Amino acid sequence: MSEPGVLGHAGVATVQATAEELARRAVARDEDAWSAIFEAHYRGVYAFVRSRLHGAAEAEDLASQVFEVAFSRAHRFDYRGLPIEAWLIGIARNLVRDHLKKLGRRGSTEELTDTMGAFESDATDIVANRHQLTAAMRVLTEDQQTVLSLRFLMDRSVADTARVMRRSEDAVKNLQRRALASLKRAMEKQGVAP
Amino acid sequence: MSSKRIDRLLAETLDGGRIPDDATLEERNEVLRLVAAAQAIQATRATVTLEADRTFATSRARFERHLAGARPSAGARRPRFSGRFGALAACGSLATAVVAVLAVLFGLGLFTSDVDTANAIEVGDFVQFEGTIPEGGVSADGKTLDVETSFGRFSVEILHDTSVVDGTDLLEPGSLRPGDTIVIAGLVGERNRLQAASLSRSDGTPVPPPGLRIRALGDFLPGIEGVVVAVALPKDGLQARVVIETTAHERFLLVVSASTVAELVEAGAGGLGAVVRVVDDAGADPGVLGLDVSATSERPLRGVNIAGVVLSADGPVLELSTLRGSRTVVLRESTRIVLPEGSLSPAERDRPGALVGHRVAVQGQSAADGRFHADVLIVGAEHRPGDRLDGPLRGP
Repeated sequence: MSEPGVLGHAGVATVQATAEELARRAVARDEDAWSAIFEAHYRGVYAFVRSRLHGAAEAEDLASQVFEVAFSRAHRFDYRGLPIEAWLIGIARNLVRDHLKKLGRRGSTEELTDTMGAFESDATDIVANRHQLTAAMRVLTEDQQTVLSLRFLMDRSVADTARVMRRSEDAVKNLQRRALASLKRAMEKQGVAP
Repeated sequence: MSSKRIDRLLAETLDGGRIPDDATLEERNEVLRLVAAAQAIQATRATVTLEADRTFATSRARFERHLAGARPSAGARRPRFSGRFGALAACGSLATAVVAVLAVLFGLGLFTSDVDTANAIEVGDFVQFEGTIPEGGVSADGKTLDVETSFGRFSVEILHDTSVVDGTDLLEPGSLRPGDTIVIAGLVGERNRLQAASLSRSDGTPVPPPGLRIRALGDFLPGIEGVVVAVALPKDGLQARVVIETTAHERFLLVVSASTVAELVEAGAGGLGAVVRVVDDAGADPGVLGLDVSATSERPLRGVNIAGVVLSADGPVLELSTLRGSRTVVLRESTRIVLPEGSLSPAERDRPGALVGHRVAVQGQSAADGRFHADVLIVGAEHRPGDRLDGPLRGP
């Protein structure tokens, strides 16, 4: 993402022109452009999706689906200053929402076993904490969940978050405050002190 | 302590790593509480990053396969319904949710040996598939069509109550001609005969000849996603057989529960052309799999033509209360009644008036007399006072 404070106006213009060119090629379903998009954004999309789901496998699956959906809808992507990441995050939000709805309709419980536990020295606690956090996040509104994921999991600046969410920076600051307050209350209700 | 001030103090603390000096004690405490919540999320970042790195290569390979599958090339065919899905959606009256199942062609004796032995299209199944009328394929009286499908040739009988449509327009049966590509729904009889419940002219792309192998999928295998090219409903309404064609032009046949069929219908993608992903159906009988509608399907598509509550039943004629008022629905001999879990048993279904009071979803066509001819009727839970007429089949 561009950072006006670092690059200056000319640098920003260059970055935006590059992003626009990439978007144009993506709309044309240029495979190299899509590979570049995947390389640039998969990890962020995965993190975004992962914050809402208990299982790593389903997060991987949904994250992959985001790019497949985006590719299938490439002709609909209207780049007018909208970052590709914003578009991908929008698709991810919808996929996660639909996924959780289906789970709810089936009455099925998600697999609570974290399949990545082998990497962690204290897997049990980390997995338990993450589950509690995920459960607490689900109490929040979608916008609140989005701002927390972008800011604290994907480490996006306020400015970048504002671009992705198409809001002002003040609105993002306000939203993140309310989201953190809601998250804290939700975690306290679970008996978990953040 | 204004919220705007806390917004600023919090943002500066998160950016700079320390609370600004001008914060009051009360503001400081508030900011610390909020930062603690942020840190709870940040604590998971390292693990999530590891996971993302670990899954990157696999997911990239999957995406590259997806790109390759979408690549047009001389000999390869795109999934048949990827461009046609919207056209089917526009049909409106098309009975979806049931697509022809891949037959054991050896059993029927008319198909090539290029197709794997899979499940049979059993006599009595309600099926739906697409086919092309070849030259000479219309009988002199216009009541029988020979239709070439990717599963072989079928002899399709047009009955007095067969609906023939083009989009939402009713057609005269005799208006179908050689070269027309049509979606056929109906009851399978002996020797590849089919009594048509409905015929719908589609966008005209000729149907490929038989040749794709179909593999029966008894156990769950991850990563299978494709377009539904067939579903068949046996008479008992408890299960369905589905054929999916992947972007790599592999076809898989699987058995799904009636509940899965209902979910497909409710998701608005209940039939031909739906893009689905095979999932494990927890709690289902062995060999029964599930389907999730992939987000790559065009949305919204209403696979359900009518949804409501059965107010009364006079033999095969039902009166439904829907959000748009009362509708008369006619159950025909070919109508398949699907019974998801929690609706009715087959024995209960056969009792007179069994459907009264139940939520139902019906797919079919509007007839010239204003009644709705049902091809598929999915039975839901009993309607309770206060429930929405268009609520989920299983109830709120």
